[in-house]
Amino acid sequence: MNVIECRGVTKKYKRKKAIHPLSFSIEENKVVGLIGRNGAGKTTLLKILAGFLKESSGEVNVFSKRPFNNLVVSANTIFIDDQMNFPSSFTLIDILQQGERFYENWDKELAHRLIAYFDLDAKQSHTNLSKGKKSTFNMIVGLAARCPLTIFDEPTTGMDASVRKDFYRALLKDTITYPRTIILSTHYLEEAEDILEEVLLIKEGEKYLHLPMDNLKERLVGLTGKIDIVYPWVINRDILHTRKIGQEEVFLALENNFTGNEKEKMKLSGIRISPVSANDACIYMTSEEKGSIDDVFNRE
Amino acid sequence: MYLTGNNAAKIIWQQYLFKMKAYVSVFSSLVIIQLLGILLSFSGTASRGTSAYGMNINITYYSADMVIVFTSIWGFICALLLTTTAYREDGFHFVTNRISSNLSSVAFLFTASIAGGITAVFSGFLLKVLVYYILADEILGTGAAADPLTFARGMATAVLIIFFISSFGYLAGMMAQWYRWFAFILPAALMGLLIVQGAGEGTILQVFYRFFFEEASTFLFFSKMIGSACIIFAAAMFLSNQLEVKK
Repeated sequence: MNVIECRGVTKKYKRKKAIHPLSFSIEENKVVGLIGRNGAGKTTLLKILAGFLKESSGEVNVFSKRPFNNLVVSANTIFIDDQMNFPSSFTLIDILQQGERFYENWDKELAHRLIAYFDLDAKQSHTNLSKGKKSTFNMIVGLAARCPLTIFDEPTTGMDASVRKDFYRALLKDTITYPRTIILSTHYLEEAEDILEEVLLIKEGEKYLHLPMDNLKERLVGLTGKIDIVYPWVINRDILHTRKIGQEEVFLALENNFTGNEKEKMKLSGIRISPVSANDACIYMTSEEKGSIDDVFNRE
Repeated sequence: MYLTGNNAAKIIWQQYLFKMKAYVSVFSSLVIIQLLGILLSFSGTASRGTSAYGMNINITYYSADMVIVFTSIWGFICALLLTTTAYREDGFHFVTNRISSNLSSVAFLFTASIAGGITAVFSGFLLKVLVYYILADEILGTGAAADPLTFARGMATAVLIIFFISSFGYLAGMMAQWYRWFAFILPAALMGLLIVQGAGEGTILQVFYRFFFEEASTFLFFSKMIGSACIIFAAAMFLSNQLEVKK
């Protein structure tokens, strides 16, 4: 069963188009990573799915219903981001109590255990928490709510490395016990790699790729070797990334559609073939075609 | 994971409880506003004096009218606050949609009006006690209601007036959310109306005042208050439907 179905969804803010026609579907109980550069339209898309924003055109279905302003979708969805401003009079424990009243599947015990583990003071006000602690607390709310659709929009903002690691571990453990659909947008794909089953890559408001995590890891290949030896192999192929190494060598990243035979020959001619990590693959595939940051500083 | 069923009435109730807890600070501002009203009532609402045979007689009337006016303004501002983005979005971290959010806000405002109305009427007693101890030489009459029913009616009237005024605040707030410039246009229009139509016979404001506040029948007065508050709140909800749920 598809929990989410989008057909030709667009979103226009006053002048700017945030989302171009976007179509995809997400199956039940999948953990999906939403990846894209800054301003690619990730948050807008997630807010449309959560029912906060009205799509400009197209069709969005969450649990077979249009999410915008829908009570059923709201009851079964939780949207966690770093801009959750709870009333300033609320302490952490107050917020947890409210969550318990609103969400039927709320796991009170888990919430309290996580609060204790992450050293959060339950009597503290939410407004006074540091950035990282706020994110940690919001994540706890998201986990404890046990909503059939849980959306995390860059949940790890401000968290230190060890908390980030714990967060992904907690997410993994909890989804194994209580499977649910999770969409997670992040800029640190390498950290979330192990828990994501699928990746939805969007570029400038359009769907670029939607594929299982394992396929993404094998999608690109890196070739390193002398410039005059490497380039003949990549004629008529789409080079996604080029980096010079020293004076003579070059590193190229491109789609991995060489045959085994070709790879053998390349190796023999002195080209080193390396896998491209999922994170790098995403960066290469979504980069703008205006060169690298180095070009900005090369003012010759 | 299974979908949880839901019940709109239950969610409105939960939202109402949430708002009662989240916005509890409006009740402390109520206390301050009413103290201010009592302080300003010390000058009396009317006074008359005569002198004869070498004696001066000054009679001053004290009433809690000023407190009710102040409480109404407080109700207006509370309602306006509830429509601002920050307050509107507060509830959306949890389960809600716009109808449940609006209805729970109206329920909250009604509760606030009850608290405001009852305390405003009671503040009349406090005022009289203070006047007795501080200002007056002699109390000529306490002006207490003749019977419990009249007293209760007076209280209900105060509650409904505050609720009625707060509905204007809610609508004005929603209008300003819907179209930014209303935040400037509305106060300017009100000022203009007061200047152009403020005094004299048959002006808009006078017709308005007569229709609502000079109603002799209690039943009709209550119906007018509740009916118009409902219409105004419905208009505000209609406007809020034009907004995004949460940005």
